[in-house]
Amino acid sequence: MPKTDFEYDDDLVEALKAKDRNAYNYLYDNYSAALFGVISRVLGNQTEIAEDILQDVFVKIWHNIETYNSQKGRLYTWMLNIARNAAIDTIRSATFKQSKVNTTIDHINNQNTIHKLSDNIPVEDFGIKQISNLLEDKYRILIDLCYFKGYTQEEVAQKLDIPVGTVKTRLRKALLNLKEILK
Amino acid sequence: MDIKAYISSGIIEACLSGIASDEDVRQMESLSEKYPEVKLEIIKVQLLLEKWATANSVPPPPDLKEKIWSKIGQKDNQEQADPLPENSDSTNLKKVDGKEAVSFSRWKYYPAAAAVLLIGISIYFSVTLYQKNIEFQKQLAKLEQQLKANQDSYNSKIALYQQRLSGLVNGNMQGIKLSGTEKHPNMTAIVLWNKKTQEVYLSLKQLPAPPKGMQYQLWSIVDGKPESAGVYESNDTKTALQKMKPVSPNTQMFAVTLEKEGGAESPTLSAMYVAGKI
Repeated sequence: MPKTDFEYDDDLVEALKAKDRNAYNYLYDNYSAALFGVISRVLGNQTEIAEDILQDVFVKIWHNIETYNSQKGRLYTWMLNIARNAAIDTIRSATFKQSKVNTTIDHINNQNTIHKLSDNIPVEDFGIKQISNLLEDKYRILIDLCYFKGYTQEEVAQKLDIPVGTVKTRLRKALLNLKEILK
Repeated sequence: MDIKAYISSGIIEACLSGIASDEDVRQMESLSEKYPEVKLEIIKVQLLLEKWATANSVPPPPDLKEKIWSKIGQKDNQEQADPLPENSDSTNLKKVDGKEAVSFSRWKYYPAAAAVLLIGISIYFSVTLYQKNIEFQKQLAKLEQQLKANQDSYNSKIALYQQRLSGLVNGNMQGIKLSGTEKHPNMTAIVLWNKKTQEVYLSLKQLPAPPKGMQYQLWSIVDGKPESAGVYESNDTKTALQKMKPVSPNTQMFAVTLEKEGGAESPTLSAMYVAGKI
């Protein structure tokens, strides 16, 4: 990540709330790729839609920065959540479903579903092949389902055919593994 | 509550990746306020997910930044932005229904307009009052300064008078009565003279105020030779007692003449009003 003229998050947030254009350029230069990565991952290969969503996300940040409260969470996490929610809302919306019938895969066996879902993600496009390959399949798939699909715990359990309680413990293990890999 | 068990259950990870129920998220938030360990764990997981997102970065096309700026410009011209929920730290995904798009009808703006107007009026009065207040404070400061200056001048005058008074009541002070000349037979003046300190005071109580452009002048005469002891500055002959220039200890006589303003080199004898021998 490029280094910063905003040494502290607080300074950045203050400048963002003051609608300082430099601060937004800084935000874009430093975070747009990460946000675009998340959005793209949720949307699969729908690149144009992903671009629209990224635009909307930054417009939303511009207009809603007042509601951001640093006491309640980190700015980066806040932005990631906006990007992810926007992307998940989009794939859930009716128009999107029409153009992408394959997304709902209710009657297929769970294992197949997983393969289908992971097939939808063109990993090589994201420059994360190495990271993902280092992560055990069952963990990689679990993180994808939890983080990028907007499923509930129960839905994830159903997809993977595991008990609901196991989802959480396995997710924790998955993230601990991820932590080791990202070190 | 067993916090260690809570943390190791994976519930925090579930909340932060968005699969947990709203209830779980609320519980996590309230626990994070009570237990620093929970708060720390939340931050750790958030940092991990951030790091992960950074690692998964995909550069957007280069022209996107400009598009965003122009979108922001357009939106700024419209009135309202989509409201976003307050960030509730964690990541619970709000199930937003696209159909619930907010439609603002015109009447909704009237209370807002009224509020803006009220705020405007109140700002106007605040500013006006503020300015007036500053004006008053300036005037007050000016008056205080004047008062202080007056007081200083009074104080120094009082000090001067006290000094003079102590000089006057000094045992060495000699009073000399100057009587009217032939032309002004009913007039008198008084000179107070301290030979030791050479202080001379003149009182012209019974002389008329000098005409314009003229001043009374005091002379000391030694062996028939007059020396000026200065002019009487004040127009007020009735109340003042003026200190004059020191005179020779050998002075034998004092006299007062009326001279042109500023005084004369030698006395105009025809304009002599009063004189007195010691």
